Amino acid sequence: MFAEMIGGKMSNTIYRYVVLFLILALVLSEISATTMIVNAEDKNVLVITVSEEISSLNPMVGNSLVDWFIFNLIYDKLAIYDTELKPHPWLAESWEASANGTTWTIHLVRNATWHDGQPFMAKDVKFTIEYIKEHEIALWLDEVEDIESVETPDDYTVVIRTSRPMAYLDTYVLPRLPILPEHIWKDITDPEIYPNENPVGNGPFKLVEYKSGEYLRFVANENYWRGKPHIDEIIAKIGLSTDTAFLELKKGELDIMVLTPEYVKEVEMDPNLKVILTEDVYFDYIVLNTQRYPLSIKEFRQALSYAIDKQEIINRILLGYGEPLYSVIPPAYKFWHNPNVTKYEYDPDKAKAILDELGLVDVDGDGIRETPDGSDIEIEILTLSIWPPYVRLADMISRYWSNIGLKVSITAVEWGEESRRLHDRDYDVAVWGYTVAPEPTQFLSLFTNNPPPYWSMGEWVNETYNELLEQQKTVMNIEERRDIIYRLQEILAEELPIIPIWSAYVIEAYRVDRYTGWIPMPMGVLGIYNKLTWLSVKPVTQTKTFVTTSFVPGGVTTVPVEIPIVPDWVYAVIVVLIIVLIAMVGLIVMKKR
Amino acid sequence: MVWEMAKIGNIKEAFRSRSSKVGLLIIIFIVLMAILAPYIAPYDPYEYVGDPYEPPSSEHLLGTDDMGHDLLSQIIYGAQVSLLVGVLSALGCVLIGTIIGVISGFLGGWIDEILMRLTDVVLVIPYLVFIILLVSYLGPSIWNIVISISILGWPSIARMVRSYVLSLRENLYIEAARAIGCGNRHIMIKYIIPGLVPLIVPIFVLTIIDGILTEAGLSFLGLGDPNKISWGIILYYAQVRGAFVKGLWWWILPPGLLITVTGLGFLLLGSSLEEYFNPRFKRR
Amino acid sequence: MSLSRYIFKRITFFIITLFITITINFLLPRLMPGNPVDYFLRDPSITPEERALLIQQFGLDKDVFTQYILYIKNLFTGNLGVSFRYYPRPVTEVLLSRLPWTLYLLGISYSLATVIGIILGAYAAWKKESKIDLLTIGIAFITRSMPIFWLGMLTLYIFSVHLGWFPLSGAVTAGAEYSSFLDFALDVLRHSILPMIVITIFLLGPPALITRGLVLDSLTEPYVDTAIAKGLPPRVILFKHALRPVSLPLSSYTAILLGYVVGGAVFTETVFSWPGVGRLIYEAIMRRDYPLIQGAFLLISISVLIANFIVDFIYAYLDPRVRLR
Repeated sequence: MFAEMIGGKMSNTIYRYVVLFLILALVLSEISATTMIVNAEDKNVLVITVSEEISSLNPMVGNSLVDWFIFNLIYDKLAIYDTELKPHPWLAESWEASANGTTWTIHLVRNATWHDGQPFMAKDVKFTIEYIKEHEIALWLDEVEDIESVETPDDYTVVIRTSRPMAYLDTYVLPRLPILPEHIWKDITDPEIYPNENPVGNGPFKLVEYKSGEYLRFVANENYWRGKPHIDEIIAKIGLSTDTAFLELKKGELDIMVLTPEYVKEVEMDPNLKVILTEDVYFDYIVLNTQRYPLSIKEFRQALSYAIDKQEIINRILLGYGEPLYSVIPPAYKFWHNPNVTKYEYDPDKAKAILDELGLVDVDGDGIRETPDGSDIEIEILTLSIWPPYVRLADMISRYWSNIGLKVSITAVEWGEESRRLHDRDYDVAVWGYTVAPEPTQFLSLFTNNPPPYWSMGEWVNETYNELLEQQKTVMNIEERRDIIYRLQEILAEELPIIPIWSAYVIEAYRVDRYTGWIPMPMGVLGIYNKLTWLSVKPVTQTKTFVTTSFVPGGVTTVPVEIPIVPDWVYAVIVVLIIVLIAMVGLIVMKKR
Repeated sequence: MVWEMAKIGNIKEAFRSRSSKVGLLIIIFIVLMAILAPYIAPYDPYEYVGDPYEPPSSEHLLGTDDMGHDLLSQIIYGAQVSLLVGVLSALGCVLIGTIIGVISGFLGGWIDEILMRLTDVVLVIPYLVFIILLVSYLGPSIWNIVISISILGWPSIARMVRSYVLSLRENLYIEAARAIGCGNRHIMIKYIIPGLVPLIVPIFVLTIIDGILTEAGLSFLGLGDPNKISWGIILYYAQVRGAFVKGLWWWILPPGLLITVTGLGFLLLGSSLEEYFNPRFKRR
Repeated sequence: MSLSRYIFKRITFFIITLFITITINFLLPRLMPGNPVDYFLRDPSITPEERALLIQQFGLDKDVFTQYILYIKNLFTGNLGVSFRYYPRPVTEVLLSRLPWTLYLLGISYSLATVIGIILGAYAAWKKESKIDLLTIGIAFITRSMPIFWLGMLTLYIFSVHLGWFPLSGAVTAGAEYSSFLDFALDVLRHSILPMIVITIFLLGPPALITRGLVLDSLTEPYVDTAIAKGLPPRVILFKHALRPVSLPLSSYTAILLGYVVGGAVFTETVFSWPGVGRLIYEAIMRRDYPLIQGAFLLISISVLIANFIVDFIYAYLDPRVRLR
């Protein structure tokens, strides 16, 4: 009897309090959600996601995708890449080069201002270039190396003289070099340490808030020289995993995001979402260490290439959202890409035949070919453990090569380790990827086998290649230059120091019911994340609503359309849970009596 | 005589309770699944036998994963690594813990002091954070995971063993043996170690659970051995390849369920054994 | 022994353990195969300037002993180095910006779990073999065998995605402007309910089981019969007398559990995208941000140590028997 009393009375009270607390919490918090709608109603806020933390707000140092995204918003450059990846005037209204290519005259726009009101002038350009050279700022030194002097005959004209013909000043430097406000940076003596936490830029947006690990907040620059953007604010959520971000996109808490292929089907099933595919300037490939036998034999490398079925790889890993690559310059570069290089279509028999011809046959019948001195041919594939598609890629390639009689092992390591091993030339084959800059010289020079600490691709050296590469740097006629670049691609496809695999499409999804005006570009930052988009995007309708959960009492909201991707088992589980809960309540109530 | 000291009694009695029977059954089932994997799995879990992301069908009872591997086969084979890591790491913990506990309890003095301080220190180190640290430094492989768990998981075992050994030291039988002139080592082997068995076996069984869970957790964070298949690794790929968002319950539920059920099996058996051998740990 | 002597002993232990932890943290990267300190120097993505800074800061060009002294010195000035990922933000600043979130989440979950666990355990013991007993043991057993991240993802999916009751990520709604502190508090509450529930459920087991066992034992003690005979109200009997012996084992359990609690936080914060130290550790490890990883590890170890110390203190004060250990 005692027991009954205690059990009943006490636990009932506790239970009641707990339930009351939960309900109260739920209700209160939903009410607060309504308050926030009210606050957001009169602003157009674009909510997007960035994949990770920024590495630096300092344009002299920051070099990750997220950093570029931020700089895109808050800083303007002299030129901008258009959808054909040709330089297009921006802060530089026009420019001309002298016939011999060593003098460039740049005319600046006159109405651009920095966020603090100071006018943007030629002295900022002159200052930036000299600043980089003076402090030897590692990230940008390459671009300004050949510049001898910078003059400013008037406030809006810049004259650049270079030490030798710089054919690529407009394709490489003007659209990429950040310009710093002289009146702020002239007092900064240590540019590579300076955090630049309250950046003063001249771009269409200003950074007003940064919560580490959570989000960045930008507001539109009312005095932007091209006119105020159509949206008032941009909020970039940081570090959401792809699946969480996708769920938020569906719920309406996010407006646009970058996706991986497996989500495309979900997007297609949702009428509120749409997919945009963009060709990418980034591509993935495998590097072969040509200083190790038998990778040093050109025909061997060619056999390895014949053994790989690039289309099947794309179908399985990218679910078809990519293009097989044969040249090292991705097809996104319509101008520079050479479509006629040797293709190595999937042909495992041919691969085997080549190996036979080379004398690399299986002598002892264990299924693995041996080198002339009798040892098994073993290849280790180095890949990144942190990026699942790379692990899957290494797996597939190892199968293809096992099929032609080689022994393959996979080592998955993390980024620093793989970098180090590539750097130290301590690998057989490695899976890697690279973003090719719009100026092909930059990427192609990775194959000139510079000794460490320079970054280079493979250990392969070819005199003809090196000569041609140097030569084209000074050819001013762009058609002629292209011929040489084509030739370089042919050499690489023939020699195969790397085997390009695929160029994956950039897949992005956005909500059709919120904003429109998305402009996909192969190079800007990524797909529709680029400056042109930020300037052209505007709300779809005139009513400015903020989408939130479906629990809101009254109020104006848009509720996402129900999509049955939830299978029935979820309902079953919920029903069971509710039954259990009721049973518990019942038991306790019963005990009371 | 020694057996009386340890109060083992009839082993059969230990298994009389229903929960230990259920636990044992579960364990046997899972172990059989692991051993017989090559025979009962419908496909080779490493081969691409279907299209990616296929839902369950008559050909693939649990569908396929992101590359076209058969999920049912993966789950069956997954038992191998999950169990292996669980058992080996439990072995490591118990071995280290027992040795330290016995030495500490038996020899006493300053050795005891030092070893106990060491135990306290390792106990205070945050287990999971440190394991993550270790595995990320050492590299993702099964052996590194087993070693890392063994390095961190022994302190509570050492303490228990030590208190048991301490309680034994006062025992009459041992005093008598010493009086006759038996050496330390003889005493240890003949009296103490047999008494340890009933103490350690349940602990071993229970520690296996932590080994399995730790491996699953590490794999889920991406620190697992990518060349192998384990339940944790299956869940890892489920998460990074969109299974949760796509609602692919056939990919998500079975591995987690199996981990839980296997853990429950060891838990039921372990706690019954513990209850039986050490009545003061009574659960029921 | 007296209270002061006990305290002295505990302080000594605290200092020694602190020292050992600090040293382990120093030695770890230098002892590992493939010496991560080398990574600092050979990772080609580090600019020469960063490299120089690192060398200067960590004294990498000097011998091990000098490095160690430098390390200790840095530690006492709160300098844990500069993060790679958040360069050039110092590690200390990054950690401190995330710490409050984890403290909030874990503090409340842990307290709730302990209280609920004790109450459940006490009732389970009182009404042995009843439904509440089975429920308690059931929860304890299942949560011991279940991977926390799995339950986390299922919960997230059911309650956030399908039912839409709770937000999907973060501690606050991104970019929201609050008209009052109450608004902010409610927003945080809304974001934290799910992860808190998950963590609390997982932490319920041990206190419930320990309490249950101990109350079972103490219920057979004569003083309980005396209390009943004296006519004390049942609630008093249970919570004032039967629970007395719980404090000692519970305190030692607390000490051990604090280390595990943080581990659970790593998973939960990752699954719920909660901006705390747990998720920071995960991110730092993925990015191989060694200064941050080590800083976080040190911070957590020291926090656990301090918490242990405080708990020991409280129980020593409350229960004189503890000091006789």
